[in-house]
Amino acid sequence: MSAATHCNKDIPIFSVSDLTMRIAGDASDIVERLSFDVFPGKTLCIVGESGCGKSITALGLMGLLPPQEVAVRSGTIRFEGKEYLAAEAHQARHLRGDRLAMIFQEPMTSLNPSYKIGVQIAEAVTCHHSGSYVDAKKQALAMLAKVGIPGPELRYDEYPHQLSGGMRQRVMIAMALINNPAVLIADEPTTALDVTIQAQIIELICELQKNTQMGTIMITHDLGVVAKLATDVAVMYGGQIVESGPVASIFNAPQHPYTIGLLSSMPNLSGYKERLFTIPGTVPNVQSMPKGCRFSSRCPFCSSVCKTQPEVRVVDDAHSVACHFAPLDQTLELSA
Amino acid sequence: MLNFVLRRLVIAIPTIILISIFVFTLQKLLPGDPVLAMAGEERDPQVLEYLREKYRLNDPIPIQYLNWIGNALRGDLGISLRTNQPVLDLILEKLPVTFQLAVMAMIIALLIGIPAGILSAVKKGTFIDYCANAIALSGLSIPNFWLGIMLILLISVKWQLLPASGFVSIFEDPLRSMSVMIMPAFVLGTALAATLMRHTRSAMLDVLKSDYVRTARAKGLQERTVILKHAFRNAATPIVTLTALLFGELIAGAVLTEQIFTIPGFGKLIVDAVFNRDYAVVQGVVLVTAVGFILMNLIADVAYVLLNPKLRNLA
Ligand SMILES: Nc1ncnc2c1ncn2[C@@H]1O[C@H](COP(=O)(O)OP(=O)(O)OP(=O)(O)O)[C@@H](O)[C@H]1O
Ligand code: SF4
Ligand SMILES: [Mg+2]
Repeated sequence: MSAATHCNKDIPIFSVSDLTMRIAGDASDIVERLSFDVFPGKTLCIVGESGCGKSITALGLMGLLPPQEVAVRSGTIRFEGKEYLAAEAHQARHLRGDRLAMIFQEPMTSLNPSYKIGVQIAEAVTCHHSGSYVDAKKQALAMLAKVGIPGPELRYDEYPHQLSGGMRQRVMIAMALINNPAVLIADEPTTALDVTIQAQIIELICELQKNTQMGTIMITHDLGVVAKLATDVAVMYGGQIVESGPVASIFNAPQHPYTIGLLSSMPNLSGYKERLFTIPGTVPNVQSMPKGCRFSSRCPFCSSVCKTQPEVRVVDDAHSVACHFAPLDQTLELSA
Repeated sequence: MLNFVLRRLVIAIPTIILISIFVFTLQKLLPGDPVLAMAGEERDPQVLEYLREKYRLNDPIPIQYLNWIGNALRGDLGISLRTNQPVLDLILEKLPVTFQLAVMAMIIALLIGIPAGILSAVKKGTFIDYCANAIALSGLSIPNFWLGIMLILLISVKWQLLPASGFVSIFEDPLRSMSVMIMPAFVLGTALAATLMRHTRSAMLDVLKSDYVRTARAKGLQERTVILKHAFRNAATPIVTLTALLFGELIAGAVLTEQIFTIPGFGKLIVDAVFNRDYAVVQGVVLVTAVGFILMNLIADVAYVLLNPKLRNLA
């Protein structure tokens, strides 16, 4: 994928190429040959059904997967001009929490119950920058105010159990952004929250991103979030990126049958308003992934060619698809 | 917090009463006449009767109990039938000895058990983990008396490095006192170290899987900080509780070790008292032990609350 033509800054700040990972003991790869770029000031949304490998990808990029549990078989990461093997991501400690930050899916359990939240935020500063704790505390207080926590002075000394889920996610965001990272990976930051709080958190992330050059990878399966935040979209299915491109192109001219199905399941964005379309079946697990196109077991257009792996085709300048039938002559109409 | 402690103390009262009744009754049910034991060769019925009257052994048992517990509450645990000393004095004389032994044993256990537990959790499934577990298992399965005797034979008899016995109070000659106590403390401590190691390991394994440890790593903290500050701080809560409980057990478990190393402690006091049917001493010792146990339980509970911010706010 290359969103280059759609950005002012056309050098990606974070590039992943050919990332392949396997869970120890499995016979096939959980994530296969992922490649994508993140540009400064832009948001790449990674979408896909539950279990398709989004979190494992995010954790792999952060270097947070225990090597004895998940093996990184191939892949390189280029970050801020430096290139390193994805398999060595866990050694990039100096980047984590400083240049490359992450917010997690589970705000309720992601904060240490034994330490004051303020101390946990300030720790992110002191562990990367020399400087006094007093200084770090000042920064943490400012950050708490910035993420919309009322009465930061009081909240600073509170423990996680004294905060609601939404508040905790705000604290996690404060912790992630306090060192002005170049790239933020947000793994479904709102899934665990109430609907009203979800909107607030997305709004907050949107606000905080404005006027910064931070590139964001937003993992979600909420197409509403994609519509609000994304500049680019990568659609994942069964551990692969099946389609990627600028958000307008993906929404207006989806090419992969899986993307089309996904968009159809969203009544207001897809244009197919009459009925809610859902893709029959679920993502097969790694062991029973079909040979050839991984979507073939659920694809309504599956035919004999689909027994071979479709190569990635560029259909529009920044829009690429992995399907034998791409590019489509016209927009496919699915009749469920 | 004070409220919580007081509430716990009130709850402990019925327990102590029950234990005291139990001890008292059991003692009465045991065969053997204390007066005979006391009188030695003397079999003159008049003398025996005099002794019975003196120690009020002719009163109905419930009255005897009430007498005893009433005095105990005032700090009077009776007079030893054998030595004619107040039981409380005997206990206060012996307790510090056993206390010193227990503290030293606990320090040894903590110094071995906790680092070994952390290490084997962090290195789970590796050679280090297997070694630590194998050593722990042998620590648990080697009987104390055997280890004690072996140590005496090797270190004291063969190499003559440490004295096998000859207790000295820590207030008289601290260095000598420690050198005498170190072997028995080691014997007592090893079994505990194994228990502590296994609990530390499983608590650490739980915590290392948690999301907040992942957050700590995502923050870019050094692995040492992640493990010792973020993980161990949370794993420590059950360990502190366990330590308090184990300490109570240590005092009780010291009996055998004190026999082997001829340490004039609590254990020796109770063994001698039982053999001599010295009722007052046995009852006193058991009562003090039970109260000590309950206190350790209370300390364990308080520590648990203090270490847990959520409970701390509630208490
Ligand atoms: N450490 C691990 N060990 C073994 N299997 C794992 C591990 N982590 C993830 N998996 C498996 O890998 C698959 C992909 O998981 P992943 O968490 O990446 O999905 P996801 O796309 O984030 O889904 P969701 O939307 O539910 O968060 C799942 O089937 C999961 O069971
Ligand atoms: S390659 Fe075949 S099976 Fe796969 S998405 Fe395209 S049409 Fe469907
Ligand atoms: Mg996930």
